[in-house]
Amino acid sequence: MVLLLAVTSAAAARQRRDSASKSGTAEPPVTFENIGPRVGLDFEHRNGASPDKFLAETMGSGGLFFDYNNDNRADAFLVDGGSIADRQAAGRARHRLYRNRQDGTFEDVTAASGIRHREYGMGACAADYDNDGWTDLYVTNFGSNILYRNKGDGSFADVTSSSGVGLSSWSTSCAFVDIERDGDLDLFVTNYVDARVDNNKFCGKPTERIRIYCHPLNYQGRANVLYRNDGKGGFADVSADSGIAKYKGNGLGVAIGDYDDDGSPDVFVANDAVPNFLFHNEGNGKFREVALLAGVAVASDGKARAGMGTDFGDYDGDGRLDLFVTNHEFETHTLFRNLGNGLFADVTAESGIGPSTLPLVGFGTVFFDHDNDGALDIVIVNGHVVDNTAMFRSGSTHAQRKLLLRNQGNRRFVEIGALSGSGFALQKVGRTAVAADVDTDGDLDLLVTNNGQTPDLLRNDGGNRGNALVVRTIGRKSNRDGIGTRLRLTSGTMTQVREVKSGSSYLGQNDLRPHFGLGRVDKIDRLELRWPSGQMETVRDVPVNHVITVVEGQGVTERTRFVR
Amino acid sequence: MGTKQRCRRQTAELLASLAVAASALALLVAPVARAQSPPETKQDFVAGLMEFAAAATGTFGDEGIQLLSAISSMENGLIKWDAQVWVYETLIASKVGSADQQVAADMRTVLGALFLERGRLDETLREFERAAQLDPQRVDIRMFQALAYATAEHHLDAARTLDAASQLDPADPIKPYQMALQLAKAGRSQEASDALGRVLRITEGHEWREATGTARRTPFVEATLVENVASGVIVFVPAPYAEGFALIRQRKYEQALDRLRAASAVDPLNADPAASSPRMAQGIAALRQGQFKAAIDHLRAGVELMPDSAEAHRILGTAFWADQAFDASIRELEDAVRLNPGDERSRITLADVLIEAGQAPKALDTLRNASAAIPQSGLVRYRLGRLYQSLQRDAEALHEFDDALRLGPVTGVSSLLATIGYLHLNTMNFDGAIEAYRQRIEADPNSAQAHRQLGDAYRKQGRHDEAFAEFVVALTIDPESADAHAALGQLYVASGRPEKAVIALQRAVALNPAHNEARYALGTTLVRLGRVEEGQKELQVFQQLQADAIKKERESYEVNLIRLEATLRGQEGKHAEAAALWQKVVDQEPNQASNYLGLAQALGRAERYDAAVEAYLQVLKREDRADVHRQLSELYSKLGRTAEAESERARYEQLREQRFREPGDNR
Repeated sequence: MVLLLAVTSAAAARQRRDSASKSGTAEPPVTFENIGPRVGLDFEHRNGASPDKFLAETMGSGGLFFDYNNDNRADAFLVDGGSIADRQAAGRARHRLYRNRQDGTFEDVTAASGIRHREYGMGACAADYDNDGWTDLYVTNFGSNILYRNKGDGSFADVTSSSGVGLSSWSTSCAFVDIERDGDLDLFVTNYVDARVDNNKFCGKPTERIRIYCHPLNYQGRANVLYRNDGKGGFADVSADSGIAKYKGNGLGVAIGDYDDDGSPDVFVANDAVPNFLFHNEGNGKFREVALLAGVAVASDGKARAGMGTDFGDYDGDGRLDLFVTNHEFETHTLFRNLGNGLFADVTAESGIGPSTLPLVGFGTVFFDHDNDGALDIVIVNGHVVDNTAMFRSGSTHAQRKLLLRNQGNRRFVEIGALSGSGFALQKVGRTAVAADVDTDGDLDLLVTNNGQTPDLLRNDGGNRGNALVVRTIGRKSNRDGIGTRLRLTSGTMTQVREVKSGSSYLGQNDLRPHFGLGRVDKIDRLELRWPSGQMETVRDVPVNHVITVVEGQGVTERTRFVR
Repeated sequence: MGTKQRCRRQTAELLASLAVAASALALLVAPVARAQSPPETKQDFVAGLMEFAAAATGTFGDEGIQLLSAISSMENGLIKWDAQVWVYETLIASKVGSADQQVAADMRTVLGALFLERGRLDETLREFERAAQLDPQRVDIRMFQALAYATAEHHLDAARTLDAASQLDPADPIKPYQMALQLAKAGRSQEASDALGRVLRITEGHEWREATGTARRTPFVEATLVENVASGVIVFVPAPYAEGFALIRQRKYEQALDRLRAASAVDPLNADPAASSPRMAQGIAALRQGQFKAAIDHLRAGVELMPDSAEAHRILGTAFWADQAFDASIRELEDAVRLNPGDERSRITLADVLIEAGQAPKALDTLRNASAAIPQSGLVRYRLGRLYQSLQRDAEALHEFDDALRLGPVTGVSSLLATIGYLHLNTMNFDGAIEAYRQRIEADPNSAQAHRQLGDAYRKQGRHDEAFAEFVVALTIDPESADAHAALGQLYVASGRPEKAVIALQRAVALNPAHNEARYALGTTLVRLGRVEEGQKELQVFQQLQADAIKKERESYEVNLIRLEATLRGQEGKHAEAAALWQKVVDQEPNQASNYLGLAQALGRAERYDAAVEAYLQVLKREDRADVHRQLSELYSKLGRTAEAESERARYEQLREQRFREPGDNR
């Protein structure tokens, strides 16, 4: 039955494309243009690259979309690095909060926000951890992490100390997740390696005095951390009790998803050069690491990859969350198809994504429906870790192009970056990629951060030729953001599944509001929501081409038509 | 040798060959006999050819006479070869009419094979056609016939013949595989794809061990004059001989000999005054015996006598090089290049010396200039490619190797193509890699490794059917390859045939219990099949193997960091610290000679000579290296241990001299 569903969903997407091309009305490709510089994203990432080649210099930094002022628009936050070698240069680093003005431009509101750069910045995640209706912000660092509570007046308060989440390590990605489904959000933080300043090593060619960034296996890996929210504004480190701390890896990316559909969110950690972790949520505050048995620890050749960014998404429409992980050059990025029964298969080769991803060092990635045809595509931003890589390998470059893997609807992808406009033609040192419909026109735009460079805001042009729906969830019994809610949209033979999730990609987070591409579908039969509280809710008469708000137990409370 | 004398000798050889041929034919016409390959007739010619190629390197400068002698050997070998072919031809003609059909078919097949090697293609095709008519059920005849058609570039005829052979032997995957190759060459891509489909169908239900046993096989019939050298040594001849060797590849032997003869007459090995100088001869003799000082004295005198002789300077430069007097060597070789810019030997030796003297950029310039001055030199291109490769300039290396391939190595085509394929992969040109590996298979079809490499390249591109066919062929050649079984298992997994995958993967881990990929794929496939307990058991073994591998990798990184640190301390002149770090490296990796060498050198610089001697001896226990003997000799001298110093010096000279004799890319 599930298989049949997958086939019909895939076939539906394929049929739409086929009929378009056969009738000679093939639509022009969707394109992306980098509008960042002209809409106010005047940020330039400081990586503090130094002759000492501190590893952190090449790994950051991240960014995210979140609605900090509750205007139902995606605002942007960008993490700055700083400098490890030079204190003065470090002092000039500034994170940036940009308010979406709703007119296509962004305003730098950092100064008023109270957000300060304190340590060498890496990543960020955002959610309403105190259920006060305002989205809070957590910033990971090479150093101590910081939690900012959103005061609701456009400013944030640093509550790191009182909340107990100021972990001092080298944290990378993070995600808010309601582990126990008790209505408040816990926090999962990935940690990378023990490359402290006083543990910096020389890698390269000493005879020629050429230094490079060291391979992570030169350092010891770190365990990840899970903080349990006590519901009173504080967090407790439950890494040991939950079973997380037992596993030391070189954690970079994190993706949260209920891969076995048992109602409890599970945690996948992409590890660099050692096997990945899949922490299965046992439902009692404990986790069991099952990556090997599930088939996601390593690639099909049994080798651990350099896991960087990751995302869960149901790309084949069978109702199960599949998993994508970006890796180093010469490894191919890895697509794991969810087979059910808690098992995955590495389908990188069969899906056709191998050759295009093989030459690139992948970081940020998102499953997103770029052309609103109902099938999840994949974006990957790439950029080498070794800034002087060309000295070591012919043809290898520091700045690299982005990839757009278009879902063909038959469990295969084709890479169409070259056809996707000037934004995809940019060669930069990509790190995170996150998606949101910033202009509320019904298609997903992308925010890309680049190491030592300006970010890209890639506006989607033409994606909204197909219909779409964006859903904002507000929990009542569940956490207020509705993080962990599973949404199942059905229209005719097409069924799509999304989860409201924090974290994912690499050092970043997408807009919390799930986006459904609908193609020519103009009638949604139903939208089923399974809230983290366990409450099931079905809403009907859902309009297409709207942003809707669903409040737990109250159905659709707000509808805003896309601006087109 | 006078004409009369030569004729007498040839007649005697002819008579001897007649006797051999008659006995071979007697065997051949025995009712049970089957002609699998033609009797050897070409050995003398091939021996002469190889002798020529070896002499043409001209390392010592006295090889001119060997060139002439090798040409003479080839001439005589060719006469003998023709005579033997004629004997067979005559004998077969006299007997074939009265022989029963099967024996007659054998005879025609032998004759066809003889003609094929000798380059008489029309007659080859005629004889194989007649043989096939006489015994239409004989698969081997069809295979020879297909080979002949392929050699004549009649690819559709070759494919048709292979199709017929496949009908006669429907269980063999090699025939449709070859058919696919021929159809692809004829531009019939759909039919080629269908033929590959036959390979896949044939191997459904195939159990490799039962089907093929465990012994390696050579299922492809080849018609190469010089067999693929197992060691993969890549040998080029200097540019003036390239045309002659190209004609040999085309089996135009008489014309080839004319060209080689003409080129050798003007070769500096024969034409330069140094070739006839007694003083130079004395020097060369000393050089050949590893008496470098004596050689230099004689050769220096020779140069004084013939200051305008490029050869004299080249050989003196070579002697200085042998003695590791790099500056003097470079001076002499530069003079040689100046005096005879068209002689690639001086230019290549100069580059070799510069590389050994640590002047890679200058070596690169030298080879680039050589390439511009002598564009038809395959050897220059090849050496330039190797140098680029060592400098990690893969794209440029590839360019040079492609040119070298086009200019034609005498041996080692397969090795060169393997390198080209690898570099294409390294520069992420997968189509290029596939093309190189395909060419490699044409040059060396019985190499299981070549088929595996092509299969892997196809797998990376998601071209599963083609990959499958390559691994099938690889296993037909080498049924004991764990890698090929593992790859086949993975292809079964990818194509949704887990039961078949399990069988292939179990075979892989049986052959190599530490095969991580196979172990992992087996574990996950069993779990997916619901055989959870078995799968978990395999995954546990895998997990342990993987943990060991990661631990080893971490240790290797750790040691490497210490090694880098030691090198840095040495550069800073902190030799005692460097020695202490090298000692750590040695403690962690006690089997590597290079670690002991680092330690020995650091100890020497830290003036801890006795400890350094011990470390050098540890190097030599693990690797008998000329440069280490020299360094140890110098150390002994410092310590006043004269006898040991001399003994090490003697060993050093012996090893250096041996090195000059090594062929091709081993040098």
